[in-house]
Amino acid sequence: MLVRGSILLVLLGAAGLASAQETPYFITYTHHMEEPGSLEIALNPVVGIPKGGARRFTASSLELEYGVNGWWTSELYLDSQKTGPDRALFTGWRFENRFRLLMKEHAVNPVLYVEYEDITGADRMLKEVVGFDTFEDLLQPPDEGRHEKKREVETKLILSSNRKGWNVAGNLIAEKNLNGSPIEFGYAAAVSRPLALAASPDPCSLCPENFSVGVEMYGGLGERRQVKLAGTSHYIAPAIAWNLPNGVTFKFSPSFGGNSNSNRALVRFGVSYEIPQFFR
Amino acid sequence: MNFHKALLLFFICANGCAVAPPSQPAPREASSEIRAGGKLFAQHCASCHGIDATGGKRAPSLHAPAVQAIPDVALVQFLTDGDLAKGMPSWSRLPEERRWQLVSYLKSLRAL
Repeated sequence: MLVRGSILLVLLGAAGLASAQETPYFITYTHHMEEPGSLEIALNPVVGIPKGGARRFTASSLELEYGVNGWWTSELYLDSQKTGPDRALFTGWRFENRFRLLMKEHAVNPVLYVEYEDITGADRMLKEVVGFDTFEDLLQPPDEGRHEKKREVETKLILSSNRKGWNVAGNLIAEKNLNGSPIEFGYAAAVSRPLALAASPDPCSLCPENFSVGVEMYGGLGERRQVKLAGTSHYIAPAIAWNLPNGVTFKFSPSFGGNSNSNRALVRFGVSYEIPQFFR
Repeated sequence: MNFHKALLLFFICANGCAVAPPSQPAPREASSEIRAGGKLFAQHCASCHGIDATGGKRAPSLHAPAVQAIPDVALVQFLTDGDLAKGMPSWSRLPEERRWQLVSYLKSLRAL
């Protein structure tokens, strides 16, 4: 599935020019919105190396991101996973909208993020870590977890800044399970920079200007009336993105658990292609 | 400081601390800057403005005298901010050096 999807995206990429200048982040959002009318298709698999006896898994998310206009971007995710020898499962969908709050570039640029997700307890994308999420959540076998419905509303305050080629971004996350669970909090923060700031005059694929490197940190901050670090899990993740001139971007980021509550590692891969002016 | 005060302080800062205006980078060879800018234009701008920058259904010609008369610094600032309400995206995701290269290319269109 992953290989076939990647080949399809590369072939699409060979079809024409498109704009793409991605940060290497998988978890942290910046204030960069999708260009109006453009559609980005992405496949983001994650290989989970848990601990505590849980089995390794591969989860994947197909993402469709559309620039509604200059300050509003919508995105649909379709999630799936496969654990050990078990059969692959569709684990739900998520629909997000991001609204840029200030119309011009500032020292710090805020974006409001609102997401509704309808996933099952078998979902393993771990796109955000909130509340007291720990490695123990993955001990539940997927066949049991898929009967557990999680309908959640998630909001984020995204703060992001560009300065001298660097991007620095921070996200504050609040997630509410509509079954009545308390609001859970989390964070993500990241910094990145292209390997070269100026473009070279000649077309190239492997030149430094096409690579961005960075590092992300993310984790839980407890829940309502229990905002604290004790009992939460945290990750640190170096990341690299390779933006090809034809609009295809490859990303790679191994996340390493930062404390005893975290999974051992989550290795994330990404391939995306942007189709300019898709609906216009 | 509680959360509400911190949030208020952030918004005051975000509105008040605008990004410093772009400053002209150290001079490089003009022709290579124009070529680099042309490459960036093809990657990021041509889908709306046309491969020859003569405009399209959604974006104006960049050969127009009104565009060519805009000072370089103002053009770089416009690329940074965009005009989000009218569909021109912000290109702050590109490093400032590349925005200057784009402007070098745009200003070279005057001679065409």
